[in-house]
Amino acid sequence: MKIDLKDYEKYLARLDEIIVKLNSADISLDESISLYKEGIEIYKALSKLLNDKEHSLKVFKDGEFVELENQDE
Amino acid sequence: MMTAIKVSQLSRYLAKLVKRDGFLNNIAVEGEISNLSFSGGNVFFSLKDDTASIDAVIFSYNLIDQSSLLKEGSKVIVEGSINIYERTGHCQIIVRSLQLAGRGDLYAAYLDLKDKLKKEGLFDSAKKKTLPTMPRKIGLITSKNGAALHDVLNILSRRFPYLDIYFYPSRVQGSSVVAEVTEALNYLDKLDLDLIVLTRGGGSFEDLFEFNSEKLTRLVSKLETPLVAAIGHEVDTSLVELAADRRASTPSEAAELISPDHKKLLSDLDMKGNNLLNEMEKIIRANRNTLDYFKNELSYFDPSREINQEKDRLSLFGERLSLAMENNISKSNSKLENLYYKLQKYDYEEYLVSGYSIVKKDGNILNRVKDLKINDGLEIFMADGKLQAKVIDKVEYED
Repeated sequence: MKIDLKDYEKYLARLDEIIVKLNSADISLDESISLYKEGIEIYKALSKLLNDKEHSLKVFKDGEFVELENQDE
Repeated sequence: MMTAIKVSQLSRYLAKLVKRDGFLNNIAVEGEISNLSFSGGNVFFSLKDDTASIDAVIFSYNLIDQSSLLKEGSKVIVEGSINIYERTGHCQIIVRSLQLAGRGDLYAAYLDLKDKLKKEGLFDSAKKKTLPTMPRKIGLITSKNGAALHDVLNILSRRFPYLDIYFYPSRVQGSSVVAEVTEALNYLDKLDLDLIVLTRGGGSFEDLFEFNSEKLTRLVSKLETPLVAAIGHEVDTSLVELAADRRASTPSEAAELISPDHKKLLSDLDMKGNNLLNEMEKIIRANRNTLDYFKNELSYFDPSREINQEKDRLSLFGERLSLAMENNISKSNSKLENLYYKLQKYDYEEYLVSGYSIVKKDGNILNRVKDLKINDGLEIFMADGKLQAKVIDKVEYED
């Protein structure tokens, strides 16, 4: 699973939703296991997103943007 | 000779006279600052022009907005009241506020334009676009030489190292600001960026005046991309900032405003991960408890004991059955044997009584002449006894 930074909030909200659902009383074991699997997948993808720092600086020069710095940590 | 009064009486009289004078109590004086000194939270200076000079004092220096104007040689307009210090008869201006001299016209124009654009709705909060909470691509417009660029990049790389920054250098002071910033904004607005930051460091009203341009302000209000503007530290916010979607007071503040702190994001996410684990653990524990409960409940109805008892009974039956069968079979066998002998005996005797005889040779019953030779010894069994005989002749029938 790969999440775009733009969708971070959306998936974080889904993670919250899953936690709330797991906490609710009327949930079957099957349902809770599939929710848990989904939650773990989202957690791992978001965590990867935050740990894979990726930023760049482009500067406008002579009519176009030129890459100045590209750091992948 | 006139009656003389004391110096203190004169001084008090002058002080009262000045105090009662409406003109002197609310006066604006233009001049140049000199002999500036700060002491105990108060500011002392002389206000002078080409031919005259008057002392001035600002009590509670911190209360003055335009403290940046307090520089040796600054041409300022001070507003305040004239005061005579009774002990020395010294005359001074108690300054309540000051502004840069010559600013009046510019400032009035600024206020007029601000009013006009406000009425047109350019600054309406309802029109302002929401900033994305997690931007990915941002535009940055500032001078390539200013501290603002360094501050913004520094903070962004520390707080939120996931950005592609499109830096469009532009002058942020002087007559070319409007043209350059307009070009930068128009270019960046077409790049489908998540937001644009327009910033520069602090400066005087005049330094920042280009950011009150009507043309630039109108452009800012029409941008498709959300704009954050942080232009100087002026108390009077520039019109560009008023039209922007968000305003920050410094370049650093703008950088912080647009970037969530990734350390906090990480710790928040980890907390959620832990919550997820805890909830699932709770569910598993609860289910295990339920399972244990049912297991206990079910053990009351466990049929294995009854089944084992039945098994034992059944195997007992089996043993008895096979014993009985064995008995039965051996009984039947001996009966059968008896019958057989009886039958054999019965047949044999019956035949003999009817007149048949049985011929045996060496104990074997014979029924063919061909099995005998002349002079063979025979036993002939009859109903009441047997004969020892010898073959003296034999005739074989043709088939």
